[in-house]
Amino acid sequence: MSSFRKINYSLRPAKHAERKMMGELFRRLAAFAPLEEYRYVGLGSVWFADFSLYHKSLGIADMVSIERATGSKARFEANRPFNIQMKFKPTTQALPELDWNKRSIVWLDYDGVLSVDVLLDARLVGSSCRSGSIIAISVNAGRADEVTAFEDDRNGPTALERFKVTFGRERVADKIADDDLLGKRFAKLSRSMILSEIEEAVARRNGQGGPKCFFNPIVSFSYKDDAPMTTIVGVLYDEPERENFERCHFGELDFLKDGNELVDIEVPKLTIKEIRYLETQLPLAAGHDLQIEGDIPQREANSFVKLYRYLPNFATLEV
Amino acid sequence: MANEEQEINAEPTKTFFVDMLVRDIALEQAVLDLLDNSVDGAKRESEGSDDFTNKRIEIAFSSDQFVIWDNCGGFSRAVARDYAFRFGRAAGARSTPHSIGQFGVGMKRALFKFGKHFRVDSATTDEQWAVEVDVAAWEAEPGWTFPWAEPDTAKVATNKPGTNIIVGQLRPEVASRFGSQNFENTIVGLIKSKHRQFISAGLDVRVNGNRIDATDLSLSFSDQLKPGVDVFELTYNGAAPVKVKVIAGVGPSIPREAGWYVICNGRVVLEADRRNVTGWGLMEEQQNRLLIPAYHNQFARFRGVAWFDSDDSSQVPWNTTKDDIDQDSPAWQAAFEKMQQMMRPVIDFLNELDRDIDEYTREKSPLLDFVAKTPLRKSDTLSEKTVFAAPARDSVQKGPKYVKIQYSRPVDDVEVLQEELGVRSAKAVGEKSFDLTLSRFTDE
Repeated sequence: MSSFRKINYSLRPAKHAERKMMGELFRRLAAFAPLEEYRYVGLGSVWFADFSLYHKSLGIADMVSIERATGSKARFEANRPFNIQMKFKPTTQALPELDWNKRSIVWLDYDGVLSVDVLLDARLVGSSCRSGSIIAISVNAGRADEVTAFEDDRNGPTALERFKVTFGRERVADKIADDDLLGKRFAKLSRSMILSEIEEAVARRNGQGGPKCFFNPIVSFSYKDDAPMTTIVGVLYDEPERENFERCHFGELDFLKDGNELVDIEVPKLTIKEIRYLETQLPLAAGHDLQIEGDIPQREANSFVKLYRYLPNFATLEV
Repeated sequence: MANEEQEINAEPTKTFFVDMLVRDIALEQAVLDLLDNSVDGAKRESEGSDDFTNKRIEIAFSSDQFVIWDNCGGFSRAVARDYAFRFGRAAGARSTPHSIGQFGVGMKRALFKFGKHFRVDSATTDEQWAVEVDVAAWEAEPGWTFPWAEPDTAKVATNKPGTNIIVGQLRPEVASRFGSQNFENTIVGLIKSKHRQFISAGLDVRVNGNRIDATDLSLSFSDQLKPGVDVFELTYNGAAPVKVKVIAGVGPSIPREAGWYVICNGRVVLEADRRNVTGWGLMEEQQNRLLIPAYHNQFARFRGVAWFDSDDSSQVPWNTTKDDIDQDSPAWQAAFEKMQQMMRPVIDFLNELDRDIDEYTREKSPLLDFVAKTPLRKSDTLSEKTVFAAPARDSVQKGPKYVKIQYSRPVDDVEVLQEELGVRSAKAVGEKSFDLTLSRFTDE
């Protein structure tokens, strides 16, 4: 079932934080070209939250949303907030039809877990994107489907065997074990398999001649509002534009400053009063430690400091 | 100028020759060719014992260079001069008994395929030599010789005999693939299966620093369920005999691993083959009747292995790239008949198994339960001649008779019950609600 039937997107605080952080990352592409010249390709669902945000904050006007749930076409059209171009097709069909001559920000935010289709999409985008583009891919990372398939049929092949059958030996490294199909390890495996697929696409592209291309991973996210999700984000650029890439200074983004490439978004559980108290000290001046009063848990306070600029503010409004 | 009028110069340019040479081999295959050369070294060193303990081959590749190093004895200056760097195997060339690198072209082809600069250092216990070639310069020069270089004792020397090959200035399409994780995964996967037998015998093969273990090919083995095994020897026209062993039986249900494996002098040539070539979907020519069905997933437990072994590597049935069999080889034709005969009863049994599963479902099939519980045995350990044995359906103890129920209901309704019953799948909803209803009617 598509997640839009299950989850009210506006109530997903970690996703909200991820979107905001991604927005700051996208903004830095200005070193390549003004953001207004970019195209945003996403999977907007009925909420289009990412589209609204990036249209308003970055001024991106060319927007394409791919939607496979053709049955609810009217509902998507009715909820489309701006002049977003809708493609009612599976991504595997819609992506090859796009014009890739334009610099793009592509965020394929899937509901499901890693699949061959996800990898095929990653490969297609990696081989088609113009230099100066961003590729972001999010997948559900709870457990591999093959684990469930094995639990339903214990007389059959193991989960890992099924996983190898699904993805093929070139994609599943020798060291992968059964526990890599569960929890955090599965999130890590999903990211690395997506990354390898994009790198493979770039490698093939480089074998064709033309200026040498690179895919440079910038950051990964993991978070859990309802289902555990993980995202990998990187920039594709070619040799003549290396300087532009360097001028983006992605490493200076505050959520990347500690050199950690994986940002674990843990939404702190704090009261409004506690938040107000912590905020008076932020941003922390260099060399100062956070003062904690009362019984604010250290862990919650720390994640607040890390994420406060990106967290949503909730209030109930009676109309 | 008189010559120009009388003769046409048809001598190939070296550039043309090199381009033609490297065209018809896949990159993966070229890497394996180099590995095969090292394995041959290990075979020479083991002197027929096939014990490869302490023999090591290390392969490392990246987008900058390719390196293969081994401690497998190296080869002499004379062998290098007279055979190893010749294109094609010269008449009278020395050969390794049971060798797997028989075609005399693998090494050069791989080196040219990878890049524009290569260096080979080799040492035996008696002497050491090196060859270094800048391909672009070599192509521009007349003549077909490679220059000796000053030996480097860092990696190989007379007190640590072996061979070290470095290829640099990689071709762009090669560099990009050597740099990719998927390529490394593919190479590791290929070595695991293609060189399985050597690794099992102790050969230490490393790829980019990681030691590779062999995949085992295992078959169900008990008194009631055991594979057919046949062993025989073939000799043609006074050439060295070919020892053949054929095994056909049942293994774990893994579609990817089902099919025929053909192994020549220890090197796996075909793995999990399910084409006509190994008999699948084969028609009887006269009656137009199917002898063996085409592969289908109900045969996911089929395992067949055909080993060929000969002192003379031209007698075993492989093609020049070692990725398929030579169907015209008399040894193959003789073994193929045997393979067909031994395959038939296994296929019949798997059809029986399928009928049992159809009747009882996967969870309840007594025959499937029997097969799943039968212990496995590594194929390499099977050498006694036996006939395939499997239990008949009615001989396996049966539980109560089952019937499968299938129905559909609106998704929303199923989700209501899924929530209420606390189960994960629609299937579980069906089972749980059946059980609950049954107990309400039978608990009186």
